[in-house]
Amino acid sequence: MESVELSCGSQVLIEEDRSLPIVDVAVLWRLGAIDDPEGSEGQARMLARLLRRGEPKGQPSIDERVARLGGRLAITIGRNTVRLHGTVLARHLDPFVELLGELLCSPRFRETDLRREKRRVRSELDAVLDDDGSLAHRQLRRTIFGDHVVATPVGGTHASVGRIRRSAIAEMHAEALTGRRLLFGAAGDVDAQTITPMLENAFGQLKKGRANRPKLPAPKMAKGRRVVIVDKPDRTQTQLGMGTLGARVGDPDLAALVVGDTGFGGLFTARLMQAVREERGWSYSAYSQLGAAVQREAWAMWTHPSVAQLGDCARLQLDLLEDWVSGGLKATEIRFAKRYLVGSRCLDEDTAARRLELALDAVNLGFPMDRPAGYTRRIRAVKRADANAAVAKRIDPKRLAIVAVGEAKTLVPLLEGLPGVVDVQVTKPRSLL
Amino acid sequence: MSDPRALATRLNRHAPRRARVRLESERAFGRALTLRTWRLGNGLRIHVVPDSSAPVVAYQTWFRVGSRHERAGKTGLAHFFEHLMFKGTAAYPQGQLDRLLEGVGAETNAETWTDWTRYYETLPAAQLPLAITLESDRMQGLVLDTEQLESEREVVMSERRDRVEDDVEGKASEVLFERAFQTHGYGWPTIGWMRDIEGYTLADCHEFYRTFYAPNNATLVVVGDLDEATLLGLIQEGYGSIASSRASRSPQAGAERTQGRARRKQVKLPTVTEKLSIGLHAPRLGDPRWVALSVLNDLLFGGRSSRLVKELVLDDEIATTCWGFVTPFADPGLYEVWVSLREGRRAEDAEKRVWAAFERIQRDGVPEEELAKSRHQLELGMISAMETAGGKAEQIGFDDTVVGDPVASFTRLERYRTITEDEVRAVADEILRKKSSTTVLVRRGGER
Repeated sequence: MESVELSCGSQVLIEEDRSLPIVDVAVLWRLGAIDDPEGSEGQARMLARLLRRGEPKGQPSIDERVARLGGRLAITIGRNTVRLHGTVLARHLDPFVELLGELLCSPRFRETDLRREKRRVRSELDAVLDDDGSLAHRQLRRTIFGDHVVATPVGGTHASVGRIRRSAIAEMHAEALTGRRLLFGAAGDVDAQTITPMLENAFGQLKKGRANRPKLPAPKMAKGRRVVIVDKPDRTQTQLGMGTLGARVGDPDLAALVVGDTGFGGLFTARLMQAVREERGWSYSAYSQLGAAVQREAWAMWTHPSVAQLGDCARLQLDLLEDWVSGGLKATEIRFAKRYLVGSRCLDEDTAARRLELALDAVNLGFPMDRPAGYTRRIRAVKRADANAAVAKRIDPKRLAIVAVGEAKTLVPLLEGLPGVVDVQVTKPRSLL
Repeated sequence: MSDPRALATRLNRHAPRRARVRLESERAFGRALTLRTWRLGNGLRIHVVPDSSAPVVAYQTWFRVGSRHERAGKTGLAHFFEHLMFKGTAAYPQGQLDRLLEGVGAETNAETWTDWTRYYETLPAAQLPLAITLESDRMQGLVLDTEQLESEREVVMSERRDRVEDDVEGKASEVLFERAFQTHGYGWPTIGWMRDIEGYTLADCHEFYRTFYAPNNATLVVVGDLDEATLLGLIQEGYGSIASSRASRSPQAGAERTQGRARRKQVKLPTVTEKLSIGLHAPRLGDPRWVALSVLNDLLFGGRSSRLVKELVLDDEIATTCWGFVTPFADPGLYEVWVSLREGRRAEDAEKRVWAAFERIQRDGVPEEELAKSRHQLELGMISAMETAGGKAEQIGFDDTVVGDPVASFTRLERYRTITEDEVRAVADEILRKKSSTTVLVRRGGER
């Protein structure tokens, strides 16, 4: 992988692979939901969405121009980063990069487009009402993070989206679009000599600026287990989530936590799936997930038992959690998780686009671009005692959010008697929007 | 790659008849790779594409059995049986297969649809022998008992509740296909009706296994960093003793009768906004018109610049999402259209606009520039799908199983590049007809 720097201070990573006539182009812009002003959550996402809008009358839209080039462009936004990811036939790379430059550097942010996008975001929020899994994830996040800024969905809510102003978006764009806040990547049928002049042409005029970002306070959870039921009738089964605070990327114990979580609920053969699905048949899926971001993210486990099995399934999951945190994993389980993580690594790196993505993520988080190469070494170095100690220190079963979607009058009696529960609340799905 | 005749001679020197290997064909696969197709004496077909671009191998087993091969009262059995295939054999008892594969870092799973069932592993190249050992073992030595059957029944019922009973789109799609297909097996859901899932017996499963899980009803696809001679030797060793099945049967259900009158159904589901689902009888995947219909679908629903996404979602703001899909089935399938309306909008609004868009294409045709855009998009989609070893293997196995040609994707790619406006217009005239349509209108039911 090659790395070059543009005159505006942006770093560019290039992974060449000539096997297919396509190029993946990525732009990571260090702007995200953490930059949203209080009360206007969703502003950065709205900015990202408006990048596609605003073509002069009679001119083809950005989307039309991307499609004509045989390209695809996705714009996604996270807590810390806006990510533009495009794929294009190699023969059309030059105009595609030019288009990316135009889209990022000269957006129009018209009032009519903002109104239109607000209506669209609202309709998408309403569509969440059809999706029990999304409702459960939103509520679990809210219960874990409480008042912290990361409790709010990246896209905001009906109320916060309503408060977003065009002038604030334009200011945010002007302030955040600097060379040092952009990171570029290209993979596939391309090399540094080809892509660098194209990027210089499209982005070279940007000011270098600084890469400063807001510093967030560490999230905290109160003691006790809190149950929240998202009250939704007519369900044949529930979405059951249990979660607490997880890890951050700078955590020195991150590799140990990854090993611990993989052995507990990250594999088909892990404890959670075996106990819930294989031994009892209670839920089609059963898994745990360790989040890690700049700030501490969530750890959660998910199942979807039928209403009749909800109480038993929840008790079983709590027992499994207690056993894992207090007793740790056995040596065989740790060895197995490590073998899986080390063995499967080659599947994460089997294309140029995937190798690029790993390197971009590393650089974006402040690590060197070759950090992914040390992944298997870090996993191999984890000892059983390290993994179990890291889990015992970070995953706190006494501070736990428990969320289920279903009819409240049926679900409350099944969950209120769970051990350690200090509070049971019922919420309406619309309150999550 | 080595000389295939010399290789076959060497491999067959001491092999019993069932294990003898012969080359069926050798073809280019894209601009840099070669696909060789081999067959064992017991009928097992093997597609091999050496590709050393990454130290991984994709190993896939495709069985020519899907939900269309089931019979009334036993719907969903193909999918249910896919679950049972992970339950264990005499040599590798329950849990061993997953344990051995995950233990080396493999990604493994399976899926079932109307025409096929596939089992797949993507794993570090050095672990290829393990995949061959485990897959050949479960093709012949599956052990089933009542306890496993009951436990897996619960799991599949949970899956159905998740994907159909509690999912508005899943439920509406089930209603659409049931109404659109009144004879053919495409009319029942691949996961099966709940009442049928409740009734499977051990005898049903044994019969299904004996009938469909045999080397002459299967195809192996192996793509990645491999040595062909070693691979074939291991396959001979693993599969060479398995007898072919005489019981392989053709689909139970016959061809669908031509639909001469529009069908319409309203359903109330627990949702806050109305939905529209339209199905139009469409050509099978192997039919040249399938590509023309896919291009037409891309013009209408292929991304944010397509006609109906632009009109319904972005400009006129009556819908939150919409999409179209041409089923890639072995027999004539459906052209499926889905619109999820915004709050306060009626499904009939969308219905009128969808038909108006169809009629515009029938009346005015398609400008060359717009056609070129769709060509590029479909070309990019096909190329992107083949970036990984798993993607290549999937394309080969899918095309071999559904249309009988493992490199049909390249034929389609060429067709995309050369499709004309006349062909698109002709397929629009033929397929987009109200009298052969089935429409499902989803109304709001249940309060939120």
